[in-house]
Order: sequence, then structure tokens, then C-alpha cells
Amino acid sequence: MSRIRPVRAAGVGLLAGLGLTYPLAQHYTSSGSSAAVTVTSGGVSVQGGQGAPAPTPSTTAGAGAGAGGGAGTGGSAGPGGAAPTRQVLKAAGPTLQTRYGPVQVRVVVIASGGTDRIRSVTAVQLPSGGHSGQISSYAGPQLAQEAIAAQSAKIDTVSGASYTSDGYRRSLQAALVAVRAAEKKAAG
Amino acid sequence: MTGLVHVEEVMGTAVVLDLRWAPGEEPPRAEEAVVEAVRCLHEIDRVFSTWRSDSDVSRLRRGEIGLGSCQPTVRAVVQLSVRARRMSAGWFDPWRMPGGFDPTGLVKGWAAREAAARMTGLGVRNVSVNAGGDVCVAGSATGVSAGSWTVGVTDPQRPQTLLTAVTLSDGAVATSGGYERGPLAIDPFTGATVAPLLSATVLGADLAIADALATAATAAGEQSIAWLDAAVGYEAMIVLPDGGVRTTSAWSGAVAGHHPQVA
Repeated sequence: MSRIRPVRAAGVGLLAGLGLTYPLAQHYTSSGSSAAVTVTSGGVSVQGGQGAPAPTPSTTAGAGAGAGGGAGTGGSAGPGGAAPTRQVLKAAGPTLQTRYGPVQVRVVVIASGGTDRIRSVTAVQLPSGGHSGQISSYAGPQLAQEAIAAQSAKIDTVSGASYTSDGYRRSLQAALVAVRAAEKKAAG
Repeated sequence: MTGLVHVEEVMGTAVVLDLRWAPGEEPPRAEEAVVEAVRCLHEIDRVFSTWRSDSDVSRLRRGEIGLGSCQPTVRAVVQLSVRARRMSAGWFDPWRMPGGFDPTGLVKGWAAREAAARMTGLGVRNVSVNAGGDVCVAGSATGVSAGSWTVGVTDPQRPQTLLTAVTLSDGAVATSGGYERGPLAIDPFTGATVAPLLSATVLGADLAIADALATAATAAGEQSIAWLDAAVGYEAMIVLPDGGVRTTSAWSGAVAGHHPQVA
């Protein structure tokens, strides 16, 4: 049933609180990406992005896949120097165990010249076991569906009765708290 | 395979925008297209949400405004609702929902269709939009013109597995069912909450219509096969409470014909 429910997801509210306006996508395959930032679970890295050629970060799937880290604890300012034109903030929420396996949410925020703020929110499904240090596949919050897609190379997407994952929401919330902490640190 | 994926939480669900292209053929406005699609989804939510008291539809339901005062998109949805009501023998009927006009059963699919149209309008040729399990696609998943998208259909009894898969290069697949959110279907003739089907999947050109027909079939039960069979350009597969599967006559010709085994 397509029942529209109130948009009171923790993540959405937090994003609104962050004043983020334009969600933007994330390259999931990229050749020659030079703006890759490794994200550790629960941590945040901030990168002054002079070296990045594209307006969005081309991340590689190399994020650490540790369990459960506390959000908002990372935060390291990048090589800012003289007024960086772009700032890429990334945060990974804690790994949560869901009925479909371990799930982690990654958030990307780009502040460009203090004006355009762009975010990307991506849920990643960790390989079973979840501690190999390599994110095996992209998975959206439709966890079962994307997990199926990842397992069967012939399936591109999945139609099914709708639901949202509490695990996704909780991880998203944690990741956004981390982003906010990183923003404050970067600004200060 | 190269592309761009964005997940947006909107309309109480998650919408996955999945853009693909062949190596070296990235659409120049791909990122702009995603931003535009996301903006479109939120705008639709603002206008149509029955959970937002200030939405056009909420104000319409309370009788504060007439249809003429609503956004033009509301009138477009009303027209689609009339068509879906006719195609479903009255089983999709937003005017007989509790609390007044409620086109929710069609809006999610319509929103995904609109988002996809915004992107193709900006030069994106290969894209799928998955709005909480309602899917519309254009082009191919490989980015080459001869290709297509393969859309799995969830088994309502085992949501981690697939019942079947559908291959299409332009079109829509919508699924409704009570297996994730409980029996939310409403019988428009009695007003009762019912769920005589485990799931209903509808394949066709327009995701708004497919969504509405799937929603209606979930409430109507096995008898829906009769009007689904008569719906020109649409095919359907329904799963009965005992797990039995019924399809429209041309369904098998429309699906991929393979049944992937997923652990």
C-alpha cells in the first residue's frame, strides 16, 4: 500500500536543521576519482577540496566497516589554508544490525563557497560479517530489495510493498549528528 | 557500468534515483537532473500529503478550498484517479476514502513518474526511479540502447526473495501488499480495512495507473483479475492469502521468464 506518512524521519528533520537544501547524488563507480575520502564508522573526515575535479565527491567503496562507533566523535579539519572553495563533509553512522544484515548509512555534505550545500545520503549494506573493511555493494534503504539486487547480478531494482527501515533511520540520524559536529569543527 | 545513485527520504518512504550510462557517456546535466527530481518529489509531497495539514489535498479534504484553487498538479491527479477508478471497476476510489478525497494510492507512483520525466527531460536517457517499491524505468541498466532493466518482484511470503522478474526498457512496475505495513487496503464499497491479497503487482506504461491498480487489487482480492485482464496495456500478478499466484493472460509474455534463486 502506498500510504503517505508524515515526513518526520529523524534524518529529514536533522537535515532541515542543518539548513541543507540540495540533496545530490553520489557516484558509485568512478574512474580516476581523486576526491575519495575514506570514512570510518562513526567518524567524520573533512576535506578542503581543491583537488577535487567534480562538484560532487567521487567516493570509492573503501570505507571502513567497523561496528557501531559513536557518531560525532571524529571531525578533523582538512588542509584548509587560504579560504577553501569547497568543503566535503562525510560521516558514517554506526553499523546497525537489521533483519537484512548489517547496514550503515553514509552522509556527504558539500559546502561550496558558503552557498550551495549539497548532501548525499547513502545507505550501504555491509557484507555479511560486516567487518571486512570493504563495503561490498550499494544498497538503499529498501534493504531487502537492494540486497537482492546486489546478490543477483541480473536484477537491477526490485518492486515490492513499501516500507522504510528503522535501522536506516537510526543510522542516518547518527551520521547526521556526526556531520553537524564536523561542520562546527570545520567552521571553528 | 557507470552511474549515479541518490536516495531521498520523502513521502514517508525512500525514493531511489538510479542513473546509468555507458563509459564516457555521462549526461552533462546528470547531477542537475537529480536535484530537479528531488525538488519535484518534495513539491509533490507538499501538495499531496494527507499528513501535512497545510497541503492542498488536506485543505481540499477539509473543504477549505475547491479544486480550482489547488495546484494544477492536483487536477492532473484527479483526472488520473478518474481513469484508474474506471479501469478498476470502482475499486480505486479516492473519493470514498475515510476523511475525504485521498489519492494516496496513486500519488507515490505518479510522483516517481514525474521525477523520472524531469530527469529524462534534462537529457538523462537511462534511469530508474524506485519509490518504496514502485518502479519506473527508462532506457537500460547498462547504458547501451539495446539494453533494458530487470525488475525483481518481491515474494510477499519471503520478502528477501523474488517471485519473478520483469524486463522492460520503458515502463513501470508497481506492487502493493500488506506484508510490510500491515493490512492497509481499504474497501471503497464498505470503508472497511481489508487485505484479501498478499500482494498485487501491476506492469504497464504509467506508474501512476499501475500503482492505483495494484492498490485497488489488494483491496479487491482475486476478483481483481477480471478487470486487470481488461486493462489495456497493463498486466498483473497477484498473490492470494494461501500463496497461490494468479496472473493476467499476457503476463507471462511480459516477464523475463527467469526466476532467479536468491538465498
